[in-house]
Amino acid sequence: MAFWSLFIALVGFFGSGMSKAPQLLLANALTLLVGVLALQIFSGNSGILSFGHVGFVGVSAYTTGILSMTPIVKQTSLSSLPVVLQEASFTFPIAMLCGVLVATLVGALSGLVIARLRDSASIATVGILIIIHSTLVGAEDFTRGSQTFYGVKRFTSVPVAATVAIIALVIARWFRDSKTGIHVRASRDDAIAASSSGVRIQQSQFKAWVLSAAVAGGMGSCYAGLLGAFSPKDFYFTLTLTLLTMLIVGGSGSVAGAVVGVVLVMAVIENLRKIGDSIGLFGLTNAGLAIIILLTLYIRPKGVMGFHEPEETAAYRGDSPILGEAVPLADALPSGEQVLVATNITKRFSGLVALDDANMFVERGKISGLIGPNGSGKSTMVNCITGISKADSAVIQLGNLKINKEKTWNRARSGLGRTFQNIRLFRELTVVDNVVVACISAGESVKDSDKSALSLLNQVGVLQHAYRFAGELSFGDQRRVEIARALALKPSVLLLDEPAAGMNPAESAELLAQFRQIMKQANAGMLLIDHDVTLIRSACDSLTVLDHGRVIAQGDPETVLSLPEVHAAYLGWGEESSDDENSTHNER
Amino acid sequence: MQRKSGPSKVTKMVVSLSAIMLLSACATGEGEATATSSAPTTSEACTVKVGVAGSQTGGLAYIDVPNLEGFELWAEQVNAAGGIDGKFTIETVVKDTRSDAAQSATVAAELVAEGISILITPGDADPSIAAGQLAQDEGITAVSWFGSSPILPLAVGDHMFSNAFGDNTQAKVLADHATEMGYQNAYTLGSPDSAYTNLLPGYFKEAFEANGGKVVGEGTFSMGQASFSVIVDEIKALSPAPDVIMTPAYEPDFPTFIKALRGAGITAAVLGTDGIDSPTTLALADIAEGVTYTTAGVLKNEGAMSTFFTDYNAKYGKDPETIYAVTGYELGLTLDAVVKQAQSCDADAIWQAWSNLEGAQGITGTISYKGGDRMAIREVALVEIKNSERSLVGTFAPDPATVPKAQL
Repeated sequence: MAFWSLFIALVGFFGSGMSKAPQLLLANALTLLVGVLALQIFSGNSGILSFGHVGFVGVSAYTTGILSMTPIVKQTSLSSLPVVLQEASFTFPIAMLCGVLVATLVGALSGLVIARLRDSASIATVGILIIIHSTLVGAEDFTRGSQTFYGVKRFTSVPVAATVAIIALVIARWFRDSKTGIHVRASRDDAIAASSSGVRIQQSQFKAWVLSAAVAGGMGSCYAGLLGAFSPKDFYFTLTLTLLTMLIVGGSGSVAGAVVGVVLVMAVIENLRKIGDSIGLFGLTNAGLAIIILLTLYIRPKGVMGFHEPEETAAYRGDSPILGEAVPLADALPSGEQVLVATNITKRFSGLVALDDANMFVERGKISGLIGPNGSGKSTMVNCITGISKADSAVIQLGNLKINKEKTWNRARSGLGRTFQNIRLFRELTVVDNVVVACISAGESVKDSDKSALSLLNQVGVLQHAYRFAGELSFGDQRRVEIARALALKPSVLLLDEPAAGMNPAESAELLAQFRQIMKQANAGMLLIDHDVTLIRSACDSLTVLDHGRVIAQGDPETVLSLPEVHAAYLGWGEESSDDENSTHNER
Repeated sequence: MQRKSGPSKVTKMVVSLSAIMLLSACATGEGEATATSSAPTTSEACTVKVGVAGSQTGGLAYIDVPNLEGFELWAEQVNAAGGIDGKFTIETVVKDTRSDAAQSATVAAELVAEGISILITPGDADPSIAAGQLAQDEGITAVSWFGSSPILPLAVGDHMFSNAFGDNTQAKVLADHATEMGYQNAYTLGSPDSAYTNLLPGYFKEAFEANGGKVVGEGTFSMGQASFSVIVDEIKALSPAPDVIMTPAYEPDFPTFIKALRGAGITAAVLGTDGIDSPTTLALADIAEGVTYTTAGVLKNEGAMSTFFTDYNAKYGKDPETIYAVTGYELGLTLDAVVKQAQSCDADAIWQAWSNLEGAQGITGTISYKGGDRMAIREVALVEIKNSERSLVGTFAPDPATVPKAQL
């Protein structure tokens, strides 16, 4: 970040000595950079493309314009303005602050809607742009409606734009690695895993949206002072597409990508425009822009800089990560106590009864097994316990807490850690950040989270991969990172959904030994779902068998596994490795 | 401990290269900046450097591109004849603004730095104001290709002009025509969605009521709305029923509106503005019969325009498609008259002459600026659709004193 700040500062310094045309060009580029950074804060981190931010740019531009114009100009151009605004005439910094404030307020208002949406959020942002545009057109007394709003002082010099750009850069970079920033990025990579790691997706998304609206407000103020005259159509789809192009070309996932995108796209526009002007080939700029977008999407689909900051991908600086003291995982409580009691769980999918009055319990320091044939309701059980699926009826007690009405993130924060049958890591986050996500949910600061996460990675034996991206790890190591992430919640119960899937007997045995070790340290109970009867038999202290959503046997593994009905329902099917979670997905 | 290697060489190269490109783009601009204007002030032979900050691409290209074609035709003819008065040659520098306001400002600054004597700006208010401000700062005359919003020159200052008549002027011509036809009660239909559709009905009302007429109803529509049935019902219910309906609506709203209007059996006369001067309107056949509208002129290969058609065809190998090709040529003819008056290529002398220009001969009529609000005082053509063809009712140049004042 220091590098980019210095880069912008140098541009600002040398730019201010240039003549008017390059100064305007630079001021324009820096102003656009502020807008692209605003988009990066929300879209880059959350993965939701926003078409609405230019609306905030517009709101702030008008606010800054109205508040910084002299009363004399307003008498002619904005005669219907309320007297208070008519007489107001502030300096640029104050007018800009007000512009940012209004943009933030509008952002907060619209954020209430956006935060609740996930897949449809992008479409909703288009709606927000249209609503703001119509409001700007309709509020004639304040904006002159569709007519040109003019008379704004042209205060956006290169140093002014550079200053605002550096502030925006610092905010964007800080946010990326803040608690909320890390949580938003986790939800971008995998929403289900994020909420299971205690991420309040709605809240994090809301914060990112409002902050980015504020930064977009910064661009609005600069844009007003750059043009001096504008109308609502200047804050509509054309500007939106310009900003999005820059973000996508540079790479939406990183702040560096925003800077690179602006530099690259502006360089292409300017040079091609000059070539086009000199040879009279005027469509060259647009053709060039189209080519650069296509090339970027083809060669580097995640943008020139990809998803990561250069410092994240740079060669690792030192030796092994410095470990703090081993983190105590849970309060020392007597073992044998029932930490999870789930009773009367019923879940229907239309006519199909997936779980029929099923019961399950987990004791502290012990491993409870859950087996059953494909489609018997095992994953539905886990999903109902963790809150991913809403049970039609259930009583779920976690320690002393009744959690059946809680959201997934809150169940996770209450001490319910889990892994997934199909590994769900935050693939674009580093291994250590995967664990940090959950540490933050457990209430740690970002700094402490780093230490705790490294310590946990050490415990599960993947410390050497701490700074690699999670998606690059081998299957077994990914599994270990998932376990470390679940442990970071300081869970009282760990739900492991087929943790040994894809492992050979030796690996399974090693994993089992590790489980026992971890459980001892964490003083947690464990719910283990697996098809591997050998593993289940040797690992579990108690066993529950599900068939067609009903519990058909429960108790000591040896006894349960010898029951004829268990043989008939389960063992008779053989030990084929199945994809139970997928079938449950389909059921859902 | 192995971490992923740093940004790939390709990334580094791309980033460095583009940074160099951007800086070089700036540096070129700086180099140009040193070549400041130093045009001679005497009546010795010199070159009038015309900077065109035009929307060669993007949403405004439909106005700016034909205007430039007309202008370049004029410049070629003048230079072939040895220049204006045989000594003032024309050099045109064209830069694309891509229909973008911020780009218009940058381009204008570049052109000013190249030492131009006059700046031509896009045919719309926002980019023209952004570009015009820079010319104003340097005391250089700026003229919009055909921006018809009368606030355009007022927002920038005394060096900003427009080659177009103001919307207030065309509304005045329509109002006078309505009065002359004996219409008493008018209905206006506008839209807040653009300055053009928003303000024209108001100008019409002011002029029509000053003439003694009465506006009995004022409707509004959203640009692009699917149905006009509610508005048509509203018109039908008016008492007294309007005998004339005035609207600045254009495609796709005008065709939708007039179909609904005539479909409901309303036979009141319909007055439109230059936005409907397109083949689409003519294609409405019977429905548009009798619709009368204002425009810069009738594009027809006859009379005063036939020479232009011939010359244009010789240069471009096609007939002009819109009246904007003619207005671009006329901007050249205006510059011709100005330079003859100024006898100089100096920016200030040109501005003086432009401000005081009277009766420059164009193709569609004469063009003046003296005594106006820096919008061109030029004849407005009134056209009636007869048998799906444009038929000229007449050309009018209302006295600026009687034209409704521009709404600021």
